[in-house]
Amino acid sequence: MRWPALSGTANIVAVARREFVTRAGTRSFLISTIILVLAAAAVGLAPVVVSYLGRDATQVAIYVGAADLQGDPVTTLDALLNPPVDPGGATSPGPVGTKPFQVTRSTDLEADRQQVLDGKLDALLDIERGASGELVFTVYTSEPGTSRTALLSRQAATSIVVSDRLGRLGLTPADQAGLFVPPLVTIRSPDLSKPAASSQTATEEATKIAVNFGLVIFLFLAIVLYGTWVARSAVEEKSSRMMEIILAAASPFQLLAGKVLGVSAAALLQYAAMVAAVLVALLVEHQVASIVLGDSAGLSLPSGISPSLIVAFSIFFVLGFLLYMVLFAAAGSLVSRQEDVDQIIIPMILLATAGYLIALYASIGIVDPKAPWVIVLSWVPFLSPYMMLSRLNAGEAGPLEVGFAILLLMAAIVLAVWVASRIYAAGVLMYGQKPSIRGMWKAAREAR
Amino acid sequence: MALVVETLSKRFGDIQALDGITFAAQAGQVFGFLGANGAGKTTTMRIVLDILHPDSGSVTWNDRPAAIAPRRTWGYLPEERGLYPRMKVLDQLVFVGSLYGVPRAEAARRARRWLTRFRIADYAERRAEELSKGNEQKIQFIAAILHDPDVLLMDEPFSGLDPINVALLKDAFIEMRDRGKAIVFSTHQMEMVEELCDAIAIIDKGRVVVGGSIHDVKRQDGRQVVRLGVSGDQDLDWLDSRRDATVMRSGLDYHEVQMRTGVDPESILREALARHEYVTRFEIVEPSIEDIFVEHVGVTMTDERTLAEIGAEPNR
Repeated sequence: MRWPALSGTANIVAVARREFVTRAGTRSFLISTIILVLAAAAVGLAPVVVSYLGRDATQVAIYVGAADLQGDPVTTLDALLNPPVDPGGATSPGPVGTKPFQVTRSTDLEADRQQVLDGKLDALLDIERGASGELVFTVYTSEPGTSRTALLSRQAATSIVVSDRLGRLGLTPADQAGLFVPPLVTIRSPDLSKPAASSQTATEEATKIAVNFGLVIFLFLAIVLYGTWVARSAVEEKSSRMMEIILAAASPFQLLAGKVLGVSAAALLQYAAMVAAVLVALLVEHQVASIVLGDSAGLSLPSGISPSLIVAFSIFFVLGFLLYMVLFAAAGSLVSRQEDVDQIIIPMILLATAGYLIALYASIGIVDPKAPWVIVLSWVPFLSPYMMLSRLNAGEAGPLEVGFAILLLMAAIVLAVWVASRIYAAGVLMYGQKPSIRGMWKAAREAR
Repeated sequence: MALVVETLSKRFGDIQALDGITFAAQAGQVFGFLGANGAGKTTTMRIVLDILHPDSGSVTWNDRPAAIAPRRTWGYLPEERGLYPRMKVLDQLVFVGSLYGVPRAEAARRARRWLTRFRIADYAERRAEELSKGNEQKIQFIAAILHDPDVLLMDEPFSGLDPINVALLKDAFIEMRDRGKAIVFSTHQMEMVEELCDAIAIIDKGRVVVGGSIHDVKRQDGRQVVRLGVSGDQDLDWLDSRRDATVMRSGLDYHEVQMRTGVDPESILREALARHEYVTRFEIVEPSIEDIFVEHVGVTMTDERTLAEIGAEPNR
C-alpha cells in the first residue's frame, strides 16, 4: 500500500491537531472562554461603564451659620463648580443630571456632617462669621485636602468672601452674579496642528485608559496562561516518555511548530470569541447605554475601541503571542518533570510582566509615554506588542513606527523559532539533567 | 535488503558510549542485540533512527544512508515506554500512525485489528492511564508497527510480559519476519534469542564482542561442550584430573563438560568407556548463547554459578 509522500507539514498538522483537540476539548477551556468573553464584552462597553460610574454628581452642601451673609452662596458655588462647557453660552443651564457638581443648602450642620461621614455627601461647606467680622470657612470632607472638591471649595470660599465684602459695600446680589461667571479658558497643545488636549473630556480620557488596560491585561493573561500550557505540554511528552516515539517519526522542529500552532489555534479560538463579543458590545452600546443611563437621547458616548485599534491589536496580539509561545515551548523542553515547569518559565513571565507594567504605566501617565526610552522600548520585539498598543491607543505612534515594530517582531519570531528548535532538539532527550546555560549551549550545538 | 551499521562511535562527555559498533541485520530475519545495561544498545538504536548523531560511522538501509530513508521505514519501540496518560488508546494509535503518514481512517481500522489480535479490543476507548503495564506495552508495540515499517527496532520488547502475552508478541514477530521485515531487538532473555534470532551481536562497552549468525557465533566460540552420562558409579574424579576438561554443571542424568580448544571430544568418550560400565549419554553440544554472553561480557563463571544458585533462577 502506498501513502502520500510525507512532508514536514503533515507532521506539524498531526501534532497541532492533537494539541488543539486535547486543549480545546477540556472543561476548563470552556469555562475560561466564557469568562474571557464576558470580560471582553465589559471592555467593549467601557464607555458605558465609565459613564455609568461617573454618572453621580459630586454632592456639596453649604451650611450658612453667618446670618447676615450677603448674596446666595449656593448660586455662587454652583456657577463656579460647573463651568460652561459650551463656548457659545455664558452659562450651562442643561439638565440637572449632567452637572458634575450638585450644590444644595444645608439646614442642619450636625446631620449633614454625619451625611459626609456616611458618604452620602461629598463635602459640606460651613460658613460662619468670625470675631473680626470676616467670614470663616470649614470644609468637611473625607477626601484628601488636595482633592478636586477641596481645592474648588477653597476657591469658592474666596469668591464668597469677596461677594460678602462687595455686598457689605452695597453691591446687589443680582449685579454680583455676573461678576462670578468664570471666563472661558481654552487649553491647547503648543503644536497647533494637534487637537487641543482640552477637547478630550475626562470621561473620554478614562475610557481610553479603561480600553488600554483591558487590551494590555488580556495580552498579558493570554501569554502567561497559554505559555504555561505550551511549556507543560512540552514537558508532558518527556514525563510520559512519549518523546522518543514521536522523535522517531517527526523532527524536533515539526514537534515544536505543531505544538505552538496547536495551542495558538486554541488560544485564537478564544480570541475570536472575544473579538466577536467586543464587536457585539460596540453594536449594542447605545441601546445598553440608554437602559443603564436612562434616557440618553443626544448623549454622545466617548469613543472606546475603534476598528483600526482592533486591527492593530490583532496583529500585535498574534505576533507577540507566537513569539512568546515559541520561547515557552523551548523552555519547557529543558525540564523533564511538571514540577520544574514553573521555575523554567520564570524568565519569560518576567519579560512579559515588564512589558505589561511599562505599558500600563505609560497609559495612565506614571511613565511619560513620550519619553525616549519608552519609545525605544516600544520597538523591542518582546515589549512592542504591549507598548505599541499603549502608544497607539494614546495616539502617540505613527503608522511608520508601527510598521517598523511589526517588522522587528516578525524577524524576532523567525530567529526565535530557529533558536528554539535547536534548544528543543537538545532538550527533548536531556532527561533529568539540570538545565544550565553551558549544558544548553553544548546540547544545542550538538543538535541537528 | 539489509540494515548495515558501520563503525559507529559516539561520546557523551567523558563516556565513550559507542566505540566502533558494526553489524548487519538482514530483511526477513530477526537480529538479537545483546548487551549488559549501559552497553550502548539504546544509543545505537537512537542513532539508527536519526534521533542522535554519531561522532563517526554510518548507517545504511539498502545501501542508502538511513537518514534519508522515509520515516515510515522505521518502527521503534523505545525502552522507556510512553503513552499520553489522558488520551484514549485508539486516539494515541491514530496519532502516532498519522505521524508516519497513515490516513486517520486507515490507522483506526488497523489499530482495531491489532487490538483484537492482542485481545484488548475493549480498551480502544479507554484512557492509557487506566491500563495495566502489560496492556500498555502491547499498545506501544502496536504504535510501533501500525504503519507497517520495513525495519523494526525494539528495545526490550518482552520485558515484563506474562507468558501468554510473550507468545502473542512472538507470533507477531514471526509474522513480520516472514513478511520480509528486518527486526532488530534487544533483550536480556537468552531463551528468546535462542528461539527467535537468526543473527546476533553481543556488545560490551560500546564494542561488538561477538557477532554474526547464531550458527557462526556458536562455532566461532571455539569451546566444545560434551554432555556425558554414565551408569553405576557417578564419581567423575578422573575428569577433574584431566587438565583439558572441566565439569561445568552436574545434573542427575548427565554432566556438562567443557573442553579446551583443540581437544578431541572422543578422548573423553574413550576414557569414560574405559572407566565406567555403561555410557548412557554422549553428546557434543554447541555452547548456549547465555554461556557465550557471560563469557564475553566478563562475568566470571563462578560469579554466575553463585548467583544462579542463591537466586534460584529468578530471571527466567
